[in-house]
Amino acid sequence: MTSVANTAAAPARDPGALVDVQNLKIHFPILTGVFQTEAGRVRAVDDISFEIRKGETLGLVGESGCGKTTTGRALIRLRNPTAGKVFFDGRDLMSLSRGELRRMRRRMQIIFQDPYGSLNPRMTVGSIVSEPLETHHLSSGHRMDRVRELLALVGLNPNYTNRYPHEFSGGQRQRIGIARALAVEPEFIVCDEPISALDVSIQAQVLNLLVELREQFGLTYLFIAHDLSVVRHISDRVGVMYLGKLVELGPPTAIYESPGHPYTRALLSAVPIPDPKAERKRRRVILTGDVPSPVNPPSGCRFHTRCWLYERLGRPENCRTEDPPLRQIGDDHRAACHYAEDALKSDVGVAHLEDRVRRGTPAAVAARHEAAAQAAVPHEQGAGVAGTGE
Amino acid sequence: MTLSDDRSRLGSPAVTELPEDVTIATEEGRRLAEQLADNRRHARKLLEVRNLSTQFFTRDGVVHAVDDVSFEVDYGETLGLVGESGCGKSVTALSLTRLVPNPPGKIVSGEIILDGINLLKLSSEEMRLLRGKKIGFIFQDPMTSLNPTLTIGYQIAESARMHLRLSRKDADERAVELLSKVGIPRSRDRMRDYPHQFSGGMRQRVMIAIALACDPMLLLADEPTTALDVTIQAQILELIRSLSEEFGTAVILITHDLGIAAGMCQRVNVMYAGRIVETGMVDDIFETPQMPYAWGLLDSLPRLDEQKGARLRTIEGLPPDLIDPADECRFSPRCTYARDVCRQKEPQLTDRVGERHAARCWGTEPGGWIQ
Ligand SMILES: Nc1ncnc2c1ncn2[C@@H]1O[C@H](COP(=O)(O)OP(=O)(O)OP(=O)(O)O)[C@@H](O)[C@H]1O
Ligand SMILES: Nc1ncnc2c1ncn2[C@@H]1O[C@H](COP(=O)(O)OP(=O)(O)OP(=O)(O)O)[C@@H](O)[C@H]1O
Ligand code: SF4
Ligand code: SF4
Ligand SMILES: [Mg+2]
Ligand SMILES: [Mg+2]
Repeated sequence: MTSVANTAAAPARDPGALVDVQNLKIHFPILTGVFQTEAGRVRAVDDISFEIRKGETLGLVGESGCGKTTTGRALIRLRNPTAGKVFFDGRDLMSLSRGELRRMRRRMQIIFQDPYGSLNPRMTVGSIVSEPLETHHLSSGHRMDRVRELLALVGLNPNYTNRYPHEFSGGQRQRIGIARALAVEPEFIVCDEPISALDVSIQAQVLNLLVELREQFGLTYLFIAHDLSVVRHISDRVGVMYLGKLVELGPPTAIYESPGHPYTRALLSAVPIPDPKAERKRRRVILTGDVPSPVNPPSGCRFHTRCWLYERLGRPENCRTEDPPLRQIGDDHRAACHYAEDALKSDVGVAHLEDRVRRGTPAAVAARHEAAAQAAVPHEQGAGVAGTGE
Repeated sequence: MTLSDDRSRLGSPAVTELPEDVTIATEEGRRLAEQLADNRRHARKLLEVRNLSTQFFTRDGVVHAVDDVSFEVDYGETLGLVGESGCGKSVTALSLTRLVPNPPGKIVSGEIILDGINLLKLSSEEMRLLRGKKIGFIFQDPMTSLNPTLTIGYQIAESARMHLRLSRKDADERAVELLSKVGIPRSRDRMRDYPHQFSGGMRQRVMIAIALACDPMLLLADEPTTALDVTIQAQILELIRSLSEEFGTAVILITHDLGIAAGMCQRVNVMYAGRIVETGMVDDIFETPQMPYAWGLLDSLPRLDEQKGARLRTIEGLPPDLIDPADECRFSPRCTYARDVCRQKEPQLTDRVGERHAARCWGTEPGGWIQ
C-alpha cells in the first residue's frame, strides 16, 4: 500500500468530476511456499486514469478478468490501490480518517452481479434493506416505513418485509439489492453486472428501473457489463478495458460508430446482433488466441498479440516496444493506440450500422409501439443532466 | 484416415449423388453413404421428434418440463432452440440422447426418430453405442464434461477408438488431426496436456473435437458459449459453423441469446413453459413473429445500433411453474393481448403465412384479433 498520508486533498482535474481516478494500479501478489514469498503479481488494474462526471453514467466494458470489478471496487474504497489516487467529490479517498470514510461511504454504494450470492439467505428482506440504515444511524424510529417505501420504489410489494431471499425470483432479488443500495440515499452507485445473471425479459425490467431511479434522484453510475448493447443503452460515456488497461473512452456514438481502438472494433464485430439480415451481411474480425495472462502481460501494447491492425500494418515495432498512452483522438474521445487514426479510417466492427432492419414486431404493432414511445418522451428529459432530482 | 473426408462430402445436404472421386475407406463409410443417399431419395428428415413429453416426478408434483413437443431437423441444417431459463431447452436435448436423469425424470411419451431409427425403442446398450457415434454433444460447461484426470489426447482418441474401432495409433492420429481442426496450435504437443492446462475457450474446442470424433450426423450444442467471452464466443461459433458446413453435420443450437440464433440458424424453435410456441425460418421469426411472447422477447433487447435508449419494452411477470399446467395459453398471464378464449383453451401450433412457420396463439390465427 503506497498510499502515503496525503492529508491535503489535491483538487480533481475535471471540475465536473464526481469521481476522479488518477494512475490507478491494483496488483495482487501471487504468494507461494511456506514463507509466502511473492512469486509474481497479477496486474489486475495497471495505471488507468479517467473521471466520472456528476450525474453521468459511465459504462465499463471488457472481457472477463480485464479488471472491471477491481476498478469498480477501488472507486468506493472496497479495495486499496497499489498506486495512484481516487478522488471522490474532490477528496482523496486514501487520505480520509475512519470517521470521514464512514460518512463518505454513505454517498457511494454498490450493486452486485450475483442476485443469489449477494443477499444473506438467513436475513429477511426487511432486515437486509434496513441494515445500511442502521449502520449509518438513519431513519431511526420509522425504519420499517422507510424500508416499505424503498421496496415500493423498486417495484416490490411493500408488505414483503418478512420474507426471505429464496422466496424471490432472480429479478426480484436484484431489486432487493437495489433497494438496499438506495437506502442511504447515495449519489454514486457502482453497478457491477447488475443484470447479467437475469433472463432477457427480466433484464429489461431491471434496466428500466435503474434508468428511472437515476432520473428521479440524479444518480451517478459506474455501470459495469460485458454486454455492449446494454451498455450503449444506459451510458453517457463508455470506457473499454483490456488486460488491466483502459484502452478507449468516449461518448457512445464515438465508441460504437467510430471507435479508435482496434480492440473496441474487434469487440463490436464479435457481438451477435438479433437480426438475421444484418448478421448475414457482417464481416467479422475474429481475434485469434486467448486473452494473455495479466501476470505476464505482453510488452509494448498489450493488445499486439491479437491485434488485427498490427498485422495489417506489417507489425510495426513500436506496438511491441511502447505502451501507447490514452490520448485525445476526437471530441471527448480518447484511445490508447499508436495507430488510432488508421483504426478510425477502417470500417471494421461498425458494418452493422449500414443495415438497420426493423426487428421483431409486426408492422401494426410497431406503429402502436411508436405511438407509445412518443407518449413516453417526457420521461427521457433530464437524462444525465447534473443535479436533477436531489 | 479418409473417413472424415468422405463424410464431409457425403453429409453435405447439397450432394445427392456421390462424386466419383470419393474413395470410401471403410465398410462403415460405404454403408453410411448408401443410407444417406437413400434417405435423401426419400426426402427423409435426419431427426423427427413427435409428441415428446418428459416429466420430473418431484415431491411438489409432476413437472411437465417438455410437454408434447414435435419438430424436425433436416440433414445439414442448423436449428435454433431459444427461450428463457427453465423453459425446457436442456431437457429436450437430454431427452434426444436419452440422458434424462432418472429418477426423478422420465420420457413419458413420444417418438424420437434419428436417421430412421426410433431411439426410444433401443436398449440402453444400443443407445450407448449410438450416442457419440451419430450424435455429438457440447455442453455449457466444458470443465464438468471433461475428465480432469485424463489427458486431452486420450479423451479424444478414446471416443474415436470406441465408435470407429480404430487402432490406438490411428485414433491418436485422428485426435491430433481433430485438435488442429478445432484450432488448437501445436496440437501434437498438447495431446499430453490435462484439461486444467487449457483455457475455457480451448476446453470448449476440445469438447467440439470430441463431439466430432466420430463424424456425427447431429451435433447437439447446449449453450456452447455462454461461459465464454464475446471474442472467444465468436471463435467458437465460427468453428461450429465452418465444421458443420464442411462435414454437413446438422446442429441443434440451444441458446438464450437471440443474436446467436439470428447469426447461426436457418430455422428457430421458440420454447415457452415446456412448449414450442413458435417455429419458422429465421427471417420470419425475427421479422414477422406470430406470437406476443416472441416479439416481446425481441422488443426487450437493447440494440447495439440504437442511440441511448428510451424505455425498453418489458414482459411483466414470470414464466409459470410447470406443475400441472392448466388448459390455457401458458403465456396468457403475461400477455397484453390476452382475451377470455386464451384462458379457456390452449391454442395449438398452427400454420402461419411463411414457409414452415407455425405459432401457438389464438390472437394471430386467421381471423384473430392481432393482425
Ligand atoms: N483478490 C484477488 N486476488 C488475486 N487476483 C485477483 C483478485 N481479484 C481479482 N483478481 C484477478 O485480477 C484480474 C481482474 O479481475 P476482475 O475481477 O477485476 O475482472 P473483471 O473484469 O471484473 O472480470 P469478470 O468480467 O470476469 O467479472 C483477474 O485476472 C483476476 O483473476
Ligand atoms: N432433475 C430435475 N428435477 C426436477 N426438475 C427438473 C430437473 N431438471 C430440470 N427440471 C425442470 O425442468 C424444467 C426445464 O428445465 P431445463 O433445464 O430444460 O431448462 P432450460 O430451458 O435449459 O433453462 P436454462 O436456460 O436455465 O438452461 C425446469 O422447470 C426445471 O426446473
Ligand atoms: S498500438 Fe499497435 S498493437 Fe496496439 S492496438 Fe494499436 S495497432 Fe494494435
Ligand atoms: S393465445 Fe392469447 S394469451 Fe396466448 S399469446 Fe396469443 S393472444 Fe396472448
Ligand atoms: Mg467482474
Ligand atoms: Mg439449459
